[in-house]
Amino acid sequence: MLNGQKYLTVFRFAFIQTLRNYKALVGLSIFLITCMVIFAHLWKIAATKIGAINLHPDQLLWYIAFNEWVLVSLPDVQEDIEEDLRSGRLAYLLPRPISYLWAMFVEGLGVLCARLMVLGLVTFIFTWIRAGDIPFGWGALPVTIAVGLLAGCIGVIFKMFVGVSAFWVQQVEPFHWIWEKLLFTLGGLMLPLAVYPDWLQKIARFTPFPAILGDRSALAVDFTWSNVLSVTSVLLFWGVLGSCCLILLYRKGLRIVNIEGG
Amino acid sequence: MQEVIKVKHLSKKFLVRKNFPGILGALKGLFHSQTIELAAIKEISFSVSRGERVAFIGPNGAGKSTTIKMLTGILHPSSGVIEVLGLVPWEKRSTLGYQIGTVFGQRTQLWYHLPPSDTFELLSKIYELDPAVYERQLKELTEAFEIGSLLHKPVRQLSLGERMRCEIVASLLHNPQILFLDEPTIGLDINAKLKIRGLLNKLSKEHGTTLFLTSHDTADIEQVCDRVIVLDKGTIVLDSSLRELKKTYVKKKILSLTTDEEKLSLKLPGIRVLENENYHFVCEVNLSDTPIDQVIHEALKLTALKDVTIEDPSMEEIIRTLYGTGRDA
Repeated sequence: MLNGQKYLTVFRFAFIQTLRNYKALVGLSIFLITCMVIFAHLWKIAATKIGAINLHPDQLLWYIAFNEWVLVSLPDVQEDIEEDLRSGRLAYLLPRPISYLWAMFVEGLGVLCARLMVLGLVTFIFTWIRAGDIPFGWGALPVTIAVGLLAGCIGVIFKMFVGVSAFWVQQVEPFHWIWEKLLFTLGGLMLPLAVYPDWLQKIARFTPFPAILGDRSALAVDFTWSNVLSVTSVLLFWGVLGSCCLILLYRKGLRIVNIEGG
Repeated sequence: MQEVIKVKHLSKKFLVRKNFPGILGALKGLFHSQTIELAAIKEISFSVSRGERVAFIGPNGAGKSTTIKMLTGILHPSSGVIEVLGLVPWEKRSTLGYQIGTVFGQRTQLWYHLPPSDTFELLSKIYELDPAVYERQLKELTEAFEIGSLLHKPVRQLSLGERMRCEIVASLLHNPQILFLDEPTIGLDINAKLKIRGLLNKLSKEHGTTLFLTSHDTADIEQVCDRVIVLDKGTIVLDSSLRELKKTYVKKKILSLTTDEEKLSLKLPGIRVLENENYHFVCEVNLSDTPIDQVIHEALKLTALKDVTIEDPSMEEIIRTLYGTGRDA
């Protein structure tokens, strides 16, 4: 039997478990719609006061919808890893013939996919009612969904990176807070990147944040194949780099558990 | 009999950060750290044969969990040799994983919103079980652990006792040769405890599974295990069969008499009266001073006896004595 089947089963059950926990999905949907309403107003003010946004309000809502859809769908894997370490559950899971790190990753992907599916539907219906038809061809929809899924995967990798830091710091919440706020600001969620000074925009380009949120969501209002290629290649670059760093960090952390007992 | 666990001169040392006392100490600790070496396990040696049911007990901080973590390959020893089923655990943790099972009373491997049947299916994939073997094993365990009605209920709806039965089934699906149990009955009510103990006994007798159990509940030890290893401050203070343990350490008996006299005036060496009123006389008899039959004989001289009960001191008392021995050593 291929090892991949183990992970596929983990993915399948994570997906099913997320759907079965429908109350949590209802809560996330309410949260998502609230965020969309707040950000739509925030961006409207930014557009009129700063004048840095050249988008029609309907296009703007689609842009925000694409941002929030992925952001709210990201599972809190960092909390699960921290809990496993702090409670000692990791010692229970390690002797099983499956990699803890990859099992956590595919479990995170299972949760992500289920949420992307449900919240995608909620976001689409809400935005469609408020703003009308999508501002790009229907044929491009599967591509934007695929890029959204890829961005979500990168998000999971970085959240796991934060979670694995628990090997050293025990409590990962401060690091997660920093990661999230950087994502909100440099990713172009709070305000458009164009509003920021040049130097900050340049810094943002050296991070994965715009590709995870702003640049990817911009495909909703400016869909071109060159933009798709650009966002996808940046995401893949950060995916490979993030995965390598995550594996290294995890191995170093595991050595602490092996020597010091966690 | 084949030895499935071999431990020789096993030691484990940890580097622990030294804390300074008080507020000033805490502030000082932010800038200046000092580490000290702590010996958690000191040169312990033991072996376990196939099918044995071993209680590995000791007070908090004795080194039980550290030893189990080394036996399951999570923790690397500082020195010494460990072989579990012929494998060095920390070198072959993954291979060993297919042959051992673990049950930690306060941890779970069941998926909270899913029924246990889903977790079992997942575990069958993780342990790469042949579907036919898995079906047969699941059927057998479902019957033995009486979880047929629980299989399709979400785990969140199960009681602690039901969940624990499912946890043990989850750990046994791949038919492990050794089952490590860490406080398997913690938090359970008396009926659930009895059920779990009975099932563990049945499992060991029918399948020859080796049980390696740690528990603070002495009834777990008495009702499940046939051998006791007592660890204190990182060293083994006793390694003996349960029967031997009782024979060696039971130096006292509790004698209860129901008499014709309201009070009994019995004065013999080695007797400590615990209760003496309402026609009921209870005393602790030190057997090295006075044999129990002599006490009964003397009592009969004073009164007629309506009932006689002789009890051993509780297992808890014996073990408490042993922990004390370790501290004095």
